[in-house]
Amino acid sequence: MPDENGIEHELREQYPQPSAAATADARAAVTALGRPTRPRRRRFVALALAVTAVAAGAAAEILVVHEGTTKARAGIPSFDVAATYSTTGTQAQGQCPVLYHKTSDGTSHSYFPVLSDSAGPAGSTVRISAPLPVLDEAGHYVGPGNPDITAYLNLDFAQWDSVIRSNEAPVPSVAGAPVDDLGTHHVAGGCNFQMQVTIPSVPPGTYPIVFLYRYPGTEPNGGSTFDAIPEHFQVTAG
Amino acid sequence: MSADDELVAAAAAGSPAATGALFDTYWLVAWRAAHAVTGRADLADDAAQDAFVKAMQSLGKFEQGRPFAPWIARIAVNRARDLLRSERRRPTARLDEDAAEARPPGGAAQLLAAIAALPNDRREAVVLHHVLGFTVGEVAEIVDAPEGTVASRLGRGIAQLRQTMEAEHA
Repeated sequence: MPDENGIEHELREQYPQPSAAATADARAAVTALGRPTRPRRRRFVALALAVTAVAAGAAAEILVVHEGTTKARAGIPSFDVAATYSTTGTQAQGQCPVLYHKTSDGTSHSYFPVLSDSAGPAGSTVRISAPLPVLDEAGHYVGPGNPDITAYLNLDFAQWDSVIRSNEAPVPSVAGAPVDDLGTHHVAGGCNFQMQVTIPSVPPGTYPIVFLYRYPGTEPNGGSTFDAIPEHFQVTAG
Repeated sequence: MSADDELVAAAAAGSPAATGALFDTYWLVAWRAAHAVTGRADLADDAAQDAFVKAMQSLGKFEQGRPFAPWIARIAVNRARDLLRSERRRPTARLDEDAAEARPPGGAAQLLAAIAALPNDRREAVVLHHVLGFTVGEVAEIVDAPEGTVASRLGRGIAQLRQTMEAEHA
């Protein structure tokens, strides 16, 4: 968890605990229970499929378009390591479609971007495209807004917020390799975006590309950010 | 076989020692997960105890190889939500009041008051991730929401906490 000296640390130290009396009552109730049944083994099929997909160097998720939700959150500073990029946008005519992509396991969904290539050597140019989120957390239509979208190579998605901490380095997904800021694209109208990034010089391996959307404070999602489920890119040798 | 698996298997086989060990290891997780939902110690007491009783009676549904903590937390969260729904006639949960008995004075009290002021879904995400140490993916499973939504709630929750704390210190 990030920010060991910040609010998160204080929370862990100060968050309420159960009283001794409640603990004793509960322990007595639980240990007085009769004999339960045997546990069953977990399902391995889905895991095996996922491992196979990764081993084959496939794109991280299978894309299926569904209706869905969106998300937003607090501001992000940028850090160095620039890359070239270019952008295009489809001008919105009325409301943008409510789209999102569902992952192959059917449990996780997001407006996550699509990469033009899933593998290539350092220096490769990759085109990224995606519809823009248009719903707020409550599922209300707020439109696509005009976010700044930053792509990070090798950022640990589970610890995405390390990039907004001023007092720590971003947490990499692949240990030993850096987190690279691939560039930021400003959306100025449209229901979707495209940007082009250059894969930096990193050791061969499979890295996540994590996308963070920062919205201006004047918009419905103002001052917040949205993170898309990461895609993966396999950096090959030479 | 993990330590959790061994304890679960022994508890499922009727070992009081294993059941007690599971309780001692994960009671705080269950209670804090329940408290994250309800914001009240009394409801957290009931929800966490109910969750543990249900879990012990449902060890057959526990999948070997998976960690026990997210499983018990999910049961606790669901039970806490049930209790909270049944308590709707009462005023909105006020963590700042009922936590007063357990919390120290000063900055910690301000922080807990700020936590209490968070919308429920953000408080759940913040407590499960930052207090209990669950990953974003685990929190998503526990609260039954997409990972991105959880990450969003985390970001907004922490930002709101910082804003509140900074305002109080200004």
